[in-house]
Amino acid sequence: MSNFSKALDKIISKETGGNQTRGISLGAAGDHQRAFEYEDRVTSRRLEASQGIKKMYQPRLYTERELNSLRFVLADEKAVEQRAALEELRNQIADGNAAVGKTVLITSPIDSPAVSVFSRNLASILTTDESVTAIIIDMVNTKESLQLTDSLKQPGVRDFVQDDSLSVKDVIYPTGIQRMRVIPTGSGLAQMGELLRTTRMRVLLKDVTRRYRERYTIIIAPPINSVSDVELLNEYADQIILAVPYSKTMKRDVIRAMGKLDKTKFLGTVMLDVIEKFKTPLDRLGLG
Amino acid sequence: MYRPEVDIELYLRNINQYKWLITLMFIVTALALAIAGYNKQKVFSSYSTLELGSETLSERLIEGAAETTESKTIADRAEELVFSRKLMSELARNLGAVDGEIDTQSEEIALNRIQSQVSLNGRGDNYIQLVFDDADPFTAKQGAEQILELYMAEENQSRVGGASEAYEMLDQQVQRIEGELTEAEELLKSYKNEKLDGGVTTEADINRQMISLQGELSQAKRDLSESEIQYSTLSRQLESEARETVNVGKQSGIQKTIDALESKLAELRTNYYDDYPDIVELKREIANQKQLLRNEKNKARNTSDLDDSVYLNEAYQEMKLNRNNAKTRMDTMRIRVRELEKNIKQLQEQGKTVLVVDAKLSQLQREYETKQSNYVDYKARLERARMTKTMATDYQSDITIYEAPFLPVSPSGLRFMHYLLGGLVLGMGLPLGLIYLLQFFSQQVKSREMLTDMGIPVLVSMGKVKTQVDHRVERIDKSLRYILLAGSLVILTTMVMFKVFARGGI
Repeated sequence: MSNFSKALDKIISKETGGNQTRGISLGAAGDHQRAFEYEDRVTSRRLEASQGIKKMYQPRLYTERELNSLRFVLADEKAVEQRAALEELRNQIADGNAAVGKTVLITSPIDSPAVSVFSRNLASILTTDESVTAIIIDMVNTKESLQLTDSLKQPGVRDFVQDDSLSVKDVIYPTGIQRMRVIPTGSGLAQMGELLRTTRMRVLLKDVTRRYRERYTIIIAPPINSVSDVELLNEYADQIILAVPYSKTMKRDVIRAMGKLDKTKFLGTVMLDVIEKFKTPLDRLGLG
Repeated sequence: MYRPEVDIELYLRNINQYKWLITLMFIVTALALAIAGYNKQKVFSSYSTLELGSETLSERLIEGAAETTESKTIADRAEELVFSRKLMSELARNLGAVDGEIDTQSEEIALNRIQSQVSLNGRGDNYIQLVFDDADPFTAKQGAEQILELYMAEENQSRVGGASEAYEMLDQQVQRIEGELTEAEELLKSYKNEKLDGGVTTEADINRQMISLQGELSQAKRDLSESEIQYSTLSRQLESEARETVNVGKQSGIQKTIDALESKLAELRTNYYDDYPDIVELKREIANQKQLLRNEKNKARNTSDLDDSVYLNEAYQEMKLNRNNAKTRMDTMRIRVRELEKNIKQLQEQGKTVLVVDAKLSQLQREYETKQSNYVDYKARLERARMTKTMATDYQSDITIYEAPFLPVSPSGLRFMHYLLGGLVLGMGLPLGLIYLLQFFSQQVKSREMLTDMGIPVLVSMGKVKTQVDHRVERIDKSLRYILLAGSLVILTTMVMFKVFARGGI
């Protein structure tokens, strides 16, 4: 069986939940035939999804200036490396099938605004595919996270958990990025650690993560070392990413955080705010 | 195994991260050292070089006669002499820093200042430099000349004085030990006279005499024993000879009478009966004679009394003479044995006394020998001291002036230029070194390798997502750093220019 055939079997298996007959070699001509049929089905479904997604409510789009001020990685020369890193990460998350959404839990050993910035950029890069959407469940109340919604007073996660009259759709807001939604932290004095154990929180997470097949859910969790019960979110995630802010995180913090995360779902770490190296004269001459 | 100390990329990132620290440390260090160097007063040093321990004529002539002082010891002494209060006070007076005796606090401060201007440096094994520093080159030279002059005078005085003092001291010691030696000698002599001449001999003599006396005693005892045996033998022989003489004398006369009577009886019996009166008479007479003979025999057996016939016997006389001689010898031997035993006893008593005398004599002898040894030793030292004293007086010193003090034309020590360059180098090196140490000891997560080394996969590394504002702040930050650096360089350049044009050199 060719490598292509193996990859194809893997993708089909994921698509059909493992019901597709596997391991039956149809020969080279058969492989090609099967691949074409599969591509046709996928393309058809994605086309259908994108048609539906186009109908999503989108009040307005961010201007380039707004994107810059909100620290979105732009597709310009200045952010080539960052964009490449995000795209690489997107591919690793999609694992060959970008059309099927997943729930990604992003947490960090320490509190840092870089985690929110990274998460929204990841959501943004995921939504470049017009057949998928992304939703951010923001559980960290930072200046950066508040910027995404138009009003600071709009209800969010805290409000939903504490107010039974609110439905899930009441706390989901469009952003200035196409196909990207956000559930803000919301207001309220209750500690996030206490809210994570509530039934309303379970309702929210189950609803959001299971509603649409084409939707990526990015859960921005509070710092796992400083807020209790963050590890409860392991259950809802398909993949877990540990964000490590450069030069602010100690080795012992990373080890402690790793102890609380589900190893089977752990995708890896992402180093954030990495400082550029000092450019020596040789570097400037292209000899470094 | 990840080693942060060799991660150059991390080091370059750290430099970028701590660029403000580097900039500020560089500016502060460079400016501080430059200002220190700028304000540092110029110091001119003048010095004289002295050669120590050079061989003198007398040492060459009398090799080994006197000990040559080692140059290291001279150098040590030089340091003591130069920095002595006496010499420093004299120097301060000569240079006009103080007048007369140093009594006041201000004079003490002036003395300390003068002392701080003087230094003594070793140059190799045999050379020392007497240095005088001053802001004025002429004063520096004058100070160096003064310190040299004072030191040489003090050294000579110290040498001659020291040698004389040592000689005097050793002479006194020798005289004292000589007196003690004479005393010990007299004591030993008088004790010997008292004890040995008074009959007390040594233990060895006692032993020798004892052996001799015991030999003589044994011989005397043997001789006595022989004499006693001889005497007893002669006595027995003498008695036997006397009895033999009695038989021959009286008994033979009686027997002859008996024989004559019996012959007459036989003759009468031929003619008469036994009751004849003559025959009866003869029988009675014969019986009487026989009885007499028996009595004589018994008498000779029981009594020593000898009749004259016995005494007249020659053999008896000779034996008796021999016995008397033996007795005389025996008596003599007894007396001799008694004498010898008495002598031995006396000798034993004398032996006990001799042990005490010997011990005392040994003690006196030891004391005498010790004092004699000390005397010889001190006498030799005295001779060496005399030679040293003569040399010190005749040839003054084995320190020669190799270089005389001179007028310094350029200042000594670190100058502004050194401070300036040092500041620039230190200003760069200090923060860079600090950052390297920080990198070595830091536990912060700053590289992918640090995480992968812990077995944690790293998906991607991302730099900070910057806004326009961030870029603007960065530009301002960079400009500010450049302005500060440029400003500090301008200050440094101004200082250099001022130093060159206004003060005539850096």
